[in-house]
Amino acid sequence: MKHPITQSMRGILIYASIWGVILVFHVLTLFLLYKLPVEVALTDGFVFNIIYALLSLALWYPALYNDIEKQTISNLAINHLSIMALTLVFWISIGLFTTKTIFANKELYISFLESGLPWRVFLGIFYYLGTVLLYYLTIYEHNLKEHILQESLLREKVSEAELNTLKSQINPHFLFNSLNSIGSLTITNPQKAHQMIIKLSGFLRYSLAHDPTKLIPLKQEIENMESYIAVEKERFGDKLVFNKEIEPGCENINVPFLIIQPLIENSIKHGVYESTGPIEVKLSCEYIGEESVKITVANGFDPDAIHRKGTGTGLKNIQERMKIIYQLNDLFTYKKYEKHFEVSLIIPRKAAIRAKVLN
Amino acid sequence: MKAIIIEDEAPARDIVKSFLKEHSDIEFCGEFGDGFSGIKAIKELEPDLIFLDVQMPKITGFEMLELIDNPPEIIFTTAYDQYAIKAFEMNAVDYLLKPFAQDRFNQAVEKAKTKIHEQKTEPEKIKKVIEEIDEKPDTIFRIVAKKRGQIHVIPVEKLLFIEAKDDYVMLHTTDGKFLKEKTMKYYESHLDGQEFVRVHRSYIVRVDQVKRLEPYGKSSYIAILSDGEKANVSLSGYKKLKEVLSF
Repeated sequence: MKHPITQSMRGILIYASIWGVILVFHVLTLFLLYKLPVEVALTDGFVFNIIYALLSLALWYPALYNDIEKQTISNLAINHLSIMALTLVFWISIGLFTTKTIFANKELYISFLESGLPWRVFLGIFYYLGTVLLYYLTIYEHNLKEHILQESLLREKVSEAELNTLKSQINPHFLFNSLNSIGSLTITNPQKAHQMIIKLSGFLRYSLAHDPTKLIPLKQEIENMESYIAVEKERFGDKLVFNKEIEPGCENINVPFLIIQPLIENSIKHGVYESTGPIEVKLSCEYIGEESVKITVANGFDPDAIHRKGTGTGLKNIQERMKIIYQLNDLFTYKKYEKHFEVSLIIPRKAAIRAKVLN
Repeated sequence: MKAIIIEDEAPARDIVKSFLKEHSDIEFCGEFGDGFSGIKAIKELEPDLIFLDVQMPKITGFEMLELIDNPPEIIFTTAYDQYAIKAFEMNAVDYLLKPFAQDRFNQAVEKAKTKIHEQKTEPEKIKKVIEEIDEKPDTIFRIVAKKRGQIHVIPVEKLLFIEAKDDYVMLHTTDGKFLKEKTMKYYESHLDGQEFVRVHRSYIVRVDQVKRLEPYGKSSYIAILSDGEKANVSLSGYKKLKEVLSF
């Protein structure tokens, strides 16, 4: 954070005019109440106030580095008391030295200086407190603004992720190609066409009806994903080989809605679409420890196929959602091997923060 | 009149076959699941008409066409509507968006028949229109090329520089040289401008291949590339290089 006063000309001018007002009061007090000669009152005012004005600028740093929220009260008090003492000693000694040098022969003024010391100390403490309070207020305002900005950024991210989820739920190319397949089957094999319509409808209903922010039993996610696979299988025939290996009990864990199907879709897109031979897509779920379940989607791919480096939005989307729902990094990992690709999700049993995040 | 289908999804092939039954004057000669077998089939069967899918494994329908010298008439069949412009650039007879009706299919086939019988094409005119529409072309990520009857699919990462050769361009890659019937302008606009720079009327170089620049004559340069090859650099090319490399 930059120094609030010296960072702009405006800051410097405002600061100077505040001290200007204090200076006027100071000089008037000495001149009218204490009946000091005008030149003495002016000199005294200028010397002491200019020194303090400069010292106050430096007080920004102790305020900045003594964070009220992070330090204990006693620590804060000790730090500020010692800095204040130092400031006062510095201020009064330089002030006295300068004025005494200028008015060395004016004994009346020198005795005034000495008798007025307690007042100067009091004034110094007052200035110190005022300055530091102002600095703390500035810092507080700055932090508040930052906080609000962060919050709105986070909110933006959440809704963006939600939007992307909605958008990516149904890939239009998948939809139109599937409809084309169904159209074809209505002529060549109406029975099969009907089955395919049932599967596609199931998938569409599931994707459209559910709230993307909800958690859902893995069992249902797998059922939906299998409807999707059935449709793709009709399009690609033997090229798509699907296998699953689910450890008993895993099906009951709750997972983010529509998190499995996009992984399978990604596998099919990069594996099956780009290959001329059979490609295996495999889903496995296993317990790791007692608390979490690991879901892995692996697919083979043709190492000779040269395809566009994906933008990775599909997988990134999943990663973001996992992060938002569980507030943990590293739940999503992927690895590319020589001939196969693997994505893993770790689903913690408890998404304790989810209520907070998703409401 | 002979026709084949090149399409990777079986049900999509079946519907075309089924629709073709209404056209007794078309002899159906076979179906193929990817671009490579498609190329072979075109050579062996010499069809007059191809029903061609765009998105297929290994090479797309468009890339496949680039590899054929005298392609027959093409009717594209795809679920992607964004390829329509490109399809007409390839002088396609028609562009069928999946799923399509028998009527729409018949329309396309009739157009193909007329075209085949009349042998009337105006590729130049269409191409010009297309170039005006195609303002922001996609960046390509691979190039298909043929050499001694063999098909090569070369990722753009392997491309070192491109040299103009009359109506052709010579692609210099880490896998060797390939001649292609394309324009410098095509590659200039379809390659990533941060990686490739058109340094001269006749040269596009990969910027990280430029080892040094030597002055050549009054206002031009010669780029020495890392494999020892040289490329002419014009003054404007020099400026572009300077901008990309920020020297």
